[in-house]
Amino acid sequence: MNKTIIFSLISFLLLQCTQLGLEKEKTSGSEGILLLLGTPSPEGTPYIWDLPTGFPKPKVPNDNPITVEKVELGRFLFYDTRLSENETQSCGSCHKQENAFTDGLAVSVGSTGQSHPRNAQHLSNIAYNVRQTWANPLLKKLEDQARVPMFGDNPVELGMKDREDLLLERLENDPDYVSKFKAAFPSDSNPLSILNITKALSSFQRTFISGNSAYDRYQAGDLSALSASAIRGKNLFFGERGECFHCHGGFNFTDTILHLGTVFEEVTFHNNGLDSSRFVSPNGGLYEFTFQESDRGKFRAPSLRNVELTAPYMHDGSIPDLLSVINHYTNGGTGDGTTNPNRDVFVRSFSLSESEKQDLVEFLKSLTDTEFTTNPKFEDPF
Amino acid sequence: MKLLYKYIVLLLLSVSLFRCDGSSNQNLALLALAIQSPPGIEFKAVVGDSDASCGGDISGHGDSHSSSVTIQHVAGVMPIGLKDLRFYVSGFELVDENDTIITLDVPNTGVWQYGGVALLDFENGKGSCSGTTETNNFVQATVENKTYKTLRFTLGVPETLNHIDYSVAPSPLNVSGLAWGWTMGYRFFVGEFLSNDPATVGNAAVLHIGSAGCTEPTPGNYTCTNSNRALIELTPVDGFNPYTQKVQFDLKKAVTGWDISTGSKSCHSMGAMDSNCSAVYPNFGLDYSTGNAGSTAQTVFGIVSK
Repeated sequence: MNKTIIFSLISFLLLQCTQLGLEKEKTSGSEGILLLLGTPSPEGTPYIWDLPTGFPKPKVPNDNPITVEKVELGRFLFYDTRLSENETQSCGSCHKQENAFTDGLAVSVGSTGQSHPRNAQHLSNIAYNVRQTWANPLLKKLEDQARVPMFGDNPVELGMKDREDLLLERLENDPDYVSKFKAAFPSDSNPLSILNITKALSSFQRTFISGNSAYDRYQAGDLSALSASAIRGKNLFFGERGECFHCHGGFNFTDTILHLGTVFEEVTFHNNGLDSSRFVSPNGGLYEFTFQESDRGKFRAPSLRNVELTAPYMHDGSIPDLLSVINHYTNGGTGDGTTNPNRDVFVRSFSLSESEKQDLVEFLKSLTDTEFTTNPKFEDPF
Repeated sequence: MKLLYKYIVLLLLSVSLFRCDGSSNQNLALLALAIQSPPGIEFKAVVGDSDASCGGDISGHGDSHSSSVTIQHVAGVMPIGLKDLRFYVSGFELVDENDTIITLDVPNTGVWQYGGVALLDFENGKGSCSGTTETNNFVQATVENKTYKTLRFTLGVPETLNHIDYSVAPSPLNVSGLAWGWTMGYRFFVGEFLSNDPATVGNAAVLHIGSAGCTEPTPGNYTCTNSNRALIELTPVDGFNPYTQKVQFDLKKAVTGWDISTGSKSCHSMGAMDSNCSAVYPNFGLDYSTGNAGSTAQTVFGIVSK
């Protein structure tokens, strides 16, 4: 008798709590832990990197080996408006392929119309980023970064905070997704989870390799790939007068790189001499995390790959075009930024003639990779 | 043996009552209450004289119009709609009549409690509320039916758990509305409401408390300059009996110092960049500039009869 009562109570409990979204998430979560602890069986078809000459192999998190199936799933998720609560926006809404995956706006606008304080990142070669976003020192992995636009509410981007169940339900009701998640996470007994959404999105984004610009062809020996003006600009860029290369050097034209051979992670943020009005809340830069006044206005130097397509420039989109950026740097900054004590040592005034500035612009344009911006592998599948 | 069965039945009844929404079976609830209250600490949330609940105007919480009244978050009669009210509590201690400190065992329950942390959730996603449908006002723990001198707890997630990966964390540390992905941490407290007054409709108050000034000096090891964990200590004159009394949280007192009749106010605990926080942090007994507790007396929690 007592046993019967207890049995029915246990059944009741189980029935009652499986309806909890909290509980549902917990299930996938604990499996995630098992996955991390155990040695996962090989998942799917290993993705073969097709890297340009001189590009090292990207470092991929151990718990998310890149596979063809994850990349394919990630492509669908990246462009799927069902990832926003009101189904109006996808990742691709602010990261458009024709703009090297930024959006052409000074600052982006989220799915509920809220303006973001910052300019959308372009996504060329983000597999090599040591840190994601403009100044967050904590977001190392794309998997972690993905949760910010999905679930963040300050500002609202995709607006999925507290709507995990809705998101999972939408995807579970789509047979294509059910089979795609199964294929991408074959050893996972619950393949359709928030964690796996972030893993697939990250896998897709890691394939955004851009290394076939006119500059790359020139470097590979095609001397006709650059105009005489662009070559003069290249020499200015890499020379001691411009010193642009200190923050925008290497194969990815930035100063922080992560790849398979990286031993010491170097994380640097710079104050580039913008007027101090550009560094007030909520655009304090690294200061937002360290609370150190000396970090105010320090941001990550973005890769200059495809820079012609990623205007307007700076963390807040406050500089409209390349010539204005060059003028900002030849002036050693803008407004009171020229005397900002946090200003990077390489930001100091120097003189360039108008034609030299044009040469520099020509060189920067030579970093445009139209194969990247038109590659069908990155296109919206819907 | 028979006694054991009775105990198990009671335990299961209690669990079924307080583990999930609890509204699904009133008869069962009454039955359980008739037999015995479950052990633990019960919470209640109010806005002044009204219950903090979703789905309608909350009024009756304002002070009468008078120039001598300290500005509250609303003008005297501004009706508000609750948007969100959830917070993590941990580190429970009771002090008995002999001044013995009893550290409460807050067991893992699979849903609302993990690692000594409990999530209290006073919004059900209805009406203007934007969170989840589930609610919880109870922290299961072994407490005796007697009067204690003092109840202490922390408003927050301990540092040891504050930076775990929430997408693989056990419930309740896996709720996106409480996770703070931007800082790889948690929001300890989320309180939000909107003005429903036609004159100021849509003006919002948003208060999010969590550790800030966080960096990761070495991989996997985080350090935060501002802990922002409120230490709540309640010592009522007549003591505290968890079987007859509960802890009351007052959202009105939490936002004392804000006035949303002229515009929205928000605090995301982002240091000096977030100037509205300093007006309301002291209500929790927190110093906003340092993130330390104890510089002022908290006013947001109190003890009331069940």
